[in-house]
Parts: sequence; structure tokens; C-alpha cells
Amino acid sequence: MRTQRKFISRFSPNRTDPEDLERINVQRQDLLARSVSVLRESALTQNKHHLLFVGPRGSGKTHLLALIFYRLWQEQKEEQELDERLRIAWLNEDETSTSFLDLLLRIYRALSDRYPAEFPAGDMEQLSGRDPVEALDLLGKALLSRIGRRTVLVLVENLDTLFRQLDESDQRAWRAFIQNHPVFATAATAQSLFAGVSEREQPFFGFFDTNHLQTLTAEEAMELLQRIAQLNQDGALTEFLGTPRGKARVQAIHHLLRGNHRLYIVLSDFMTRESLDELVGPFEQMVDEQFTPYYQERLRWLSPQQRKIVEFLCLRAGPVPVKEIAAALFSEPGSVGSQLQKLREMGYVRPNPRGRESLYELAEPLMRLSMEVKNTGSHQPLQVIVDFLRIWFDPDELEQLSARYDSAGLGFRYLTAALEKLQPGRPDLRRELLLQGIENLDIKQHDEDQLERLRLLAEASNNSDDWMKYALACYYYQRFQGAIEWFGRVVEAHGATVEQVAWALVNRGASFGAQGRSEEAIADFTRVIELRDAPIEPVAMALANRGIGLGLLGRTEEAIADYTRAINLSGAPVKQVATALFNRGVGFGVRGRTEEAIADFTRIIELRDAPIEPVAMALANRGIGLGLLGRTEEAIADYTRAIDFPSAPAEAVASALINRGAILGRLGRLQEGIADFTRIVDLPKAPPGYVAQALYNRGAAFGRVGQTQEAIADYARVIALPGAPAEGASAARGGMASALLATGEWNTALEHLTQFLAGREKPPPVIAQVSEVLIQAIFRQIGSSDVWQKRAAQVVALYREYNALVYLGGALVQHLTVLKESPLNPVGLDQWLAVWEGRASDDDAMQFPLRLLRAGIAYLKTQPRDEGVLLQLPSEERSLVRLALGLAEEPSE
Amino acid sequence: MKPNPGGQLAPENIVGREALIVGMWEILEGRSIYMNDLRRVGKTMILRKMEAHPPKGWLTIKRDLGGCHTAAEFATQAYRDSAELLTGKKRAMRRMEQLLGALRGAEIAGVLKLPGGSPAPWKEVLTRTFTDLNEEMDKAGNHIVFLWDEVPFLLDNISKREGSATAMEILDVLRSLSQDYARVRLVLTGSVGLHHVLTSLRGEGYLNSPLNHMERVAPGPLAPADAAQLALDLLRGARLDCAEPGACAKAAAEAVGNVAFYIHKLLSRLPPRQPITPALIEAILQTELAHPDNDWDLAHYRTRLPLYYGKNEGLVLLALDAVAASDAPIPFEVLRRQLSSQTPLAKPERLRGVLKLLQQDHYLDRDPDGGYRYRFPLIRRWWRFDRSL
Repeated sequence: MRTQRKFISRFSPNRTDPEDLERINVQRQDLLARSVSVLRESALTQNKHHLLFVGPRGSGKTHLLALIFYRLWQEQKEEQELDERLRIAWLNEDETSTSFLDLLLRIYRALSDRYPAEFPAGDMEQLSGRDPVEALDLLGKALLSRIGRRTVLVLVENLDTLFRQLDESDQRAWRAFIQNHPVFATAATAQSLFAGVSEREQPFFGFFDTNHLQTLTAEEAMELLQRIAQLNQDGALTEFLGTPRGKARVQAIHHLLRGNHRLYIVLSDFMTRESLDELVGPFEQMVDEQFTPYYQERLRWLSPQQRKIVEFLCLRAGPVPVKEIAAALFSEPGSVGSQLQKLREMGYVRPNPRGRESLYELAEPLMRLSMEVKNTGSHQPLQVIVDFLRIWFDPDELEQLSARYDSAGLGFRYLTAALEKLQPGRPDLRRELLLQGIENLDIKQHDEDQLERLRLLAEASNNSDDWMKYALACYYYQRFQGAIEWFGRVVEAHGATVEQVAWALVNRGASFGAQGRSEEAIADFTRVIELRDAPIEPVAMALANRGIGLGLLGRTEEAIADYTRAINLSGAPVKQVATALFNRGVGFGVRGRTEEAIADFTRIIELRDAPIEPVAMALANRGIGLGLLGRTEEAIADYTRAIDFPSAPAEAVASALINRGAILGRLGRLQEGIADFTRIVDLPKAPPGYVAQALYNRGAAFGRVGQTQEAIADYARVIALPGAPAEGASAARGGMASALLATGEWNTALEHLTQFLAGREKPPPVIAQVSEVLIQAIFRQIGSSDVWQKRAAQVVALYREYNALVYLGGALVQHLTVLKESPLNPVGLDQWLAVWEGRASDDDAMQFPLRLLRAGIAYLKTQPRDEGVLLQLPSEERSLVRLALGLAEEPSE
Repeated sequence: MKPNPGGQLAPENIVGREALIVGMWEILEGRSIYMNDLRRVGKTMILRKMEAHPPKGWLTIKRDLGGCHTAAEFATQAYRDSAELLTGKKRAMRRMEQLLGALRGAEIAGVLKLPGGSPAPWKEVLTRTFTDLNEEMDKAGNHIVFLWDEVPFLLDNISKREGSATAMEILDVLRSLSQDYARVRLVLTGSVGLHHVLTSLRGEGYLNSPLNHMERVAPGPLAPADAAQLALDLLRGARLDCAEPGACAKAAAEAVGNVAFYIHKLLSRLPPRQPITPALIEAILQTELAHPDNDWDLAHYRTRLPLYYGKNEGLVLLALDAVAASDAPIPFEVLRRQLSSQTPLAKPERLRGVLKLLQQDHYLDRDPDGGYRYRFPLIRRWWRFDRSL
């Protein structure tokens, strides 16, 4: 079914239905709205704006002017004041003005054409035969008189050309006329910024409010094409553009067209499979008649060397390094570089930074097109269309299309040329274009935009390497679902090599693992292990990874068996062996087989050519093992080696520092511990989890040495730390509550305690610790039983709300140690007991601790102390109370 | 009011300058004024504001003279503006009517012509116009001031069209007229400094000092409070999304050294759909200045040096670098010592001469303690950026 194609003029958007121009207006909505707004202000106030839109040919300048005109025209219809106050003179683009008089005549003529009654043509006729000075004087007066109290908006295209035609004295005269008679506003366009407005000595310097029109981004190009398709009611094209394939193709086309609005509009016609014959001819004619003379003229303005550079770039499809241009032109790079700089300033080329160098390409793709017409003669198909066809259509689509065309027609010639270039062995242009800018991408470090470009490349490509690259990029970007999908495509691809399949399975397994889908991960790793003729490296990796998966499922012995297979695999890379040893060591550690764990870590440390990372991690972990065996000094020595290991990964260093700091703390060397935690905090690239842990530990250590404010500051940092694990932040809230309780800031402490208890990730040791501090803080208010009552009520309610009474009860029992040493007399002890019984005796969770507290207090009230009162409790409860009271264990029977 | 960089502003939207303008009217009581400063600092807007609100007893004629290419056109324009101002006054412009005879009252197109058709001598036209005006003002107890803009363009136009001798004559006639008529004053200004035109004419033998009797006024940037107010007005006028308009306005004004044109320009560049913050304003300005296609033309302050400073260019660069790099004004002796370690050219008198020229060209000025600093922070900012200081 043929679509209802609308007429969109390529060269004169003012001949297109303005409603249609509105519909295909992309990227410029804000600029358009602002321009209309300030030009309205020009008409309605004494503020006069002079706008200049700068952009190369085909960048949509006239489209923008047409919309400005249209919107103002529409608003005039609806708004009487604007209708009365504004007149628009859209100057005829084809007229030449070599003097200010000429320019004024053009303005008058434009007004006369549009408003003949208000600006009668007779005013111009009376000038005939006059001296130019006199004519200018008369015309100026007539124009001003006709304008009266209105404002004239002058729309001028190619202002740069106009300035070249006017000498400086005429420019001064024009500027003076505007300044002396502030009844004009301007909306002008220019191909590039030009000296007449940008150089300080020139009359119009700084006069115009300049806006550089940007080329379309790939997303904006897509929007434009979709709007054109919708305008043409082309549902099939609209739908195709929304598919991944459609997007990928638009991205490839984008590299070809460089965001040039006009080329998109022109080539949008070619996206349907209709009427190629009807389109190609007019396109060739358009290039030949409209572009080529213009660009040839522009080339004539250049010096011979500049022209050679531009001509060379016309022959190249993409950006070229300076050195390569210089070599091709037999010139010095320095000289070419300086000419390129001038060409850039003149708007002929544009740089594309790549690392420390710049690659250059033509600023206007249309220039290449016009050069092609000049160089290839009339019977060669235009490359841009051929390239477009081979990017936009697949070979089978082109085959089908060509069958519908007359072999003598133009369309057939183009289709044949495109098909010829799509033959196997010829460069895949679509892929090459999509690869531009991402060829040397570090797959582990990329941004969202680069990930999207890799996706588009993968969508458009039949190359498994491209799929693998995108899948890996997804994996490293933690888009595991995307990674699973694209690794899967490689696994299923016809023609994929065994090596590709093996790696895709290993990586898909890792992606499943990252999503917690251990069974699927194990299945993939098993497929690799069993894959016939699979290379050793992915097999070793699959074994090591399957071991991890099995370990996560608690199948530690099977995991250890896999690690052992990987370790013993003949020809396995040392990295894989080290990884397997490390994991097995960890597995042994989990099973409590510390000696074996230490042995594995030692093997890694002694392994020849082992990579740095597993060695450093092995040192850090052997330290843990040694610590568990009580070999503290050896543990500290291993941590120290890991910390000082050259180029050790931050994770290993941080792990060793955390553990060394903790050991030192336990040994009472708190300041050394604090120093270790501080090193982690200052460590570049330290994982956030370790930083959070170090801050928490340091806060706790500060708390222990009485530096409460420092402790509070560290806990606050953990809470605010981006990327800190939820558990770490939660623990810090608990720590913060403890520290605040120590300083007596009850209310603030309770706020933090509430947040802590409300959190999902509360480490039980921290709840226990903060609860003990809490009980101590309440108890410190000895002599104020009202405060005891009030605070006990608060905390019981709080713990009850968050189902944490068991911890509060535990803390009350632990507090017997403090009660034992306190000066409270029996009355006071009873009051303390009554406070808690009064608040919590109905709570099931508190029955048990209250019973222990009651017994403990009964004991403390006896004088001399009589352990016999504890016999009211069963033996297991009694032993708990004895422990809290610091009494020796009862002799076993 | 919306941002309007380079455009024409309604007088009520020309923010600030009140104190300066009051001072200029006071000066005009006694003598004419030559107003000069960097381009785009707002000289034309000052004329516009003076024209819109003259004090009692003053009449104004504001005219951009860049469109006049001959002495006769200039004289005709002066006469025509005067006659238009005094329209309706009986026997005003009496001497000019005598000169023009039968043409009086007729529509004048082009330049004035005598009854015989020959062009009226321009000096005669100017002298009689001034005499008539002075007489008329005297009778009414008023003064009149010609607010003439783009005088350097006028002189350059005439020099090119009629020769430098005529341009020199114009200067001398203006000097004479502004001294001879107590009730007629001039405020002369232009986009480029008149001293450049004079330098060019001096090369051709012009020895007079036509501006010596005039008071020189350099308006400089807006007062900080006015600049912040302007920025605030524009933020509101542009309806930008700004949670802290006061802070943003102050940041914008300070970032461009309180120059109104640059405030308009910077605010016109702010994105309409993004919350505006001082940090964003700073970032946008930096992006603008760093953009290879920017139209701020601050590179002009570097590229003009070889032309205007010739063999002293090296010393000038070192001096400007040193002042730009310092966060505080630099006393002469400190600057000299600093430069002496880098170049043998930094002899005291030579350095003093160069620094004086840099002040005349508005690169530098001196703080109350005599230390050298950039007159416009924006130029310093660009200089530091461009020179990687």
C-alpha cells in the first residue's frame, strides 16, 4: 500500500505547509519558543532583539525562520495589539545587496509585497534616477514614515553573504539606521560565524544574539524520521523505526549523514521501498544544481593547500588523523595542523578528539556529495545513496526490490551498485559506521552512551564478536539480564566456534550467578566442562566458577572437588589455578578446615608467575586463618605483607588493613588500629564496603578511647557514604545511637536508635551492644526514678514496635554486672526492678529476662551475699545469671 | 525584560548608571565630554538613558553618526536634527534659513544645497546651526547637548571618502564649536576608541589635540548591586527555573565582571529546562569561553597585541600573565622584580610606559594602593584560561 507522502521542500521550507513544519520540528522547540517570545517583545515594547542563527547548509535554518514567521503570523491573527504593532519583511534570498540602499530597498520591497496598502510600491518608483545619497535619504524617510509606531521584523537568510556584499561603510550605515530608528528587529541566519559580527573592530560586533544550531543527535534524528513517517501516515516505517533493528540502522545512517537535517529529510523518502526511480533523479539534480556550485565557490575561497586538505577529506568517509592527512599530501604535520585550525575556524572541518590527538572530518557532509558529483560524472550512482541503501536494507531486501525495477532505470542502477558492495568479502559499511568511536573501547570501563552504541552495533551485526562484546559490556555494567540474552545468542549462533560458545557459556553462567540464579549458572558451567574440544582456559574457569556456585548452595564438598579439578587440570593457566586454590582455601575455611585453607593460600603465595591479585588476597586470607589458630603475630605479618605488596589490589589491601586493625584493637593497641582504619578510608579505589567497615570500626575504636565526637563523625560518614552496604549504614546508626547515649544526648540518640531498629539490615551484635549502652544510659539517672520510668517506657515501646524486646531483655540481664558494682541499696534495686516489671511484664519476650533480673537482684539484696537465693531458678537459667553476676560456675555433678 | 545581548533596550530597562549620569550632566554644565571605554560596556545605553531623562533645562539630540560618509552629510544631519527639535519655534534657525534661502521649509533629501543647487559648505552649516542653537537656548535659558555616537566611524568614513584632511578639519571644527558656544555641549563616543583614529591621522600630519578640552569619562562596568539587579530582572524575565534567584543573579553578575552586555549574554545562554544554580552558571560561562565557536571575541585582547604594542609585545605578555596569575593587585616594584627574572626588557621606565598603555587600552587599572589588576575580571578569567595560568 502506498503511503500518503506530504510535500516537504528540501530547499525552501517556507514553501512547505507550516503545520507540517511544526510536526517535523525536532530539537529546536525551546529555541523556537524563546525566539518567538523575544520577537514578540520587540514588537510590543521598545526592546528590540536581533537574532542570528548559525549553522551549515541543511541544518534547518530556514525551517526555523519559517516557523518563527508562522507562529508570529498565527499570533497576530489572534491578538489585535500584535497585529497592529508588527510587520514582517522576509527578504528575498535571491536578491543581491551591494549597498545599504539596496538592502533598504529589499526591506521595503518585502514589506510592499506582503502589505501593499501600507507600503505602496510607488515609494520605490519615485527613487528612479536619483542620486544614491538622495535616494537613500528619501527611501529611509518613506520607510520610517510608513512604519510609524510599528516594529518591522526583518528575516534575512545568509547574513554572512550579505555582509560580504556590503562594505564596512555600508555596514556602519545600516547599524546607524537601526540605532537611530529603533523600530527594527532581526532574525537572520548564517552558514558560520563571520568576522562582521564576531570581530571586535567590526560595526556589528556583539550586535546579534547568536545561536549555534546543533546537528541532530542520533536520538533526535530518530525522532525526526519518526515524525516524518507519521506525517506521511507510514505505519510500517514508524513501526520499523521503533524496533531494535530500526534503531541500529538509524544509528548507522547517523554516522553517514552527520546529523544534517536536510539529508535526513531527503533520504527519509528512500526509506520506503517505493518510487526509487522517482527519487534518485531529482536528488542527483538537486546535488548537481544546488550544492555543487555553492561548494565549488566555497572551495575557490581557500588557499591551494587548504583546498587540497578539503578535497582529501572529501574522499574519506570518516575522521582522519593529522599525520595521515599530512602523509597523503606530502606535507609536514605542523603545517597541515595549522591549516586545519584555520579551516576549522572557517567552518569547513571539525575536530574529533581521540585521546591526545584530533581527527578531522568535513563539517558538512553535503560538501563530499557535491565533490562526488563533480568528480564522477553524470553516469555514476551517487555514493551517499548507494551507501544509504546498503545500510538501510539487507541484501535480500535489495534483491527483492531490484526485481521490481526496470533494469534500464536509475533505481535499478543504484540497487545493483548497493548489492555489489554487499557481496561477501566486501567491507560491512553498516558495521564499520557503528563501530566508529567504540573500536578501542575498554569493555570493563564505559559509559551508558557507549553501552547503547555497543547494543546498536550488536543489533545491526551478524558478527558473534560484536554480540560477545556487547554482552560483556552488559556484564561489566551489571546489566545481567542483557548479558544473559546476548551471551545466549552467541551460544545458539550458527557458525559460532567452540571457543566462542565456551566463553559465552562461562560468561552467561557468571551472569546467572550474579543474579543469584545458581542452578542455571551451574548448568552453564557444566556445559562448558563437558563441551567437546573446548579450550582449557574456559574449562578451568567453568570449574572454578561452578565451585563458587556449589559453595553458595552449601554443597561445599562438591565445590572443593571442582576447585581441585581446576587446580589439577593439565595446561590450565596459572591465573585459573590460583583462583581455584583461593576459592578452595576459602571453602576449607568455611568448613573449619583452617590448616588446609592455610596450605592452599600458601600454595598461591608460592606459585610461580601467579598474578598479583590472588597472591595479595591469599596473604590477607592466610592472615585470617592464622588469626583463627591464635597465631596472632604470624597473622599480623601476613596482613602486613599483603598491605605492602607492590601493586596489590585495593580490595586485598583493605581486607588486610581491616583485619590487622581489628587484631590490634583486640590487643589493646587501639591507636594503631585507628591508624589502619584511617588508611583504608584514605585508600584510593577502596571498595565502599571496606570504607564503611573501616569507618565503623574506627568509630567504635574512638568510642573506646573516649573520643566520642570523632566516633559520631565517623558513624555519620558511614551513613552518608554512597555505595555503603545497607548493613554497614544500619550498624553505623546503631553505633551513632550508642555514641550519642554516651554523651547524654538522649533524644537525638533515640531518633537514631529508632531508625536503626526500623531498618531491615540490623546486625544482631550491634543491636545487643547498643541495647547494653541504652540500659546503662538509663541507669545512670540514679536518683531520678521519674526519668527511669519515662525512659524505660520509651524504650520498651520502641523495642516492642520493632520486635526487638529479646535484645532489651538480654541487655537488662547483662546489666547485672553493673548493678553488682553500683552503690544502690536494696530500695533502689527494687525500684530498678519495678521500673522494668511495670513496663514489660505483659510481654512474652520479657518474661524470661525479667525472671533472671528478679533472681539477680534478689541475690544482690542479700547481705552477706547468698547464692542460695538463685536456686529458685533452673540450672540453665541459673548459670546465665551467675555469668552476668561474675560468679564462678557451679561445680558439675 | 528578557535577555537581549546586543539589542536595543527601552530606557526603563537600562539598569543602573544613575550616579554616572548625574555626574555627566554636572560636567556638561561646564564642558563637553568624550566618553570612551571597551566595546560593549554600555556607552550607547548611557546616551539612550540620558536622552530619555534629561534634567530640567536641557534638550538632547542623540544620533549614531556611523551612517554619515561625508562632512556635508554630517553637517546636514546636525542641522536636520536641530531643526526638527526646534520645529514650531518662530524664527528658530534664523542663520541657516538665510543660508538656504528659497529652500527653507522644503523637504531636504540627501545633503543641503544652496539656492543655486551647489552643496552648502559643511563648515558654514555646522557653524550657523550651532550659532542658531546657542541663540535659541540662550533666549529660553536652556542648554542643548548632542549625544553623538560612533564618532570614530564618522571620521573614518570621511577619511576614506574625502581624505584625511577633511576628517582633521571635522575634528578641529568640533573642538572649536564645543568651546565657542556655552549653551551647546557635546558628548562624543563610539565603538572603537577615538585615539586610534587620531593615531592614524597623526601619521598623516595632524598635530592638534581636539579632545583636550573635553572631560574624559570611562563608564566601566555596572556597580555590583546594579549588575546583580539586572541579572535578577533577566532571570525573572526569562522565567528560568531558579530556586535561589538572588544568589544566582549575584553569581552571574560577578562571573562576567558586572558588565551589562555580558550579563545579558550569559543569561541568554542558560538552559530553560534545567534548574539554574550558581554552579551551573559558572559551568555555562566556562563552556562558552572554551567553545571554539564562541562569539565573545575575548581572543581580541590577545590578537591585537602585536599590532598595537609591536616590539613590546613580549613584555606586555609577561606583564599581563603576571597580573592575571595574581589573585591580589600587584605593586609596581613587585611586578618589576618578578618580570626582571624573566626578561631583560623589564627596565623600570619601559615597564612603566607599557603599563600606562595597558591602562589606556583598558586592560589594567590600579587599586587605591597603586597595585595593578585587570580592569575587567572577565578578561582576566579568559586570559588565565587561554594562557593556561
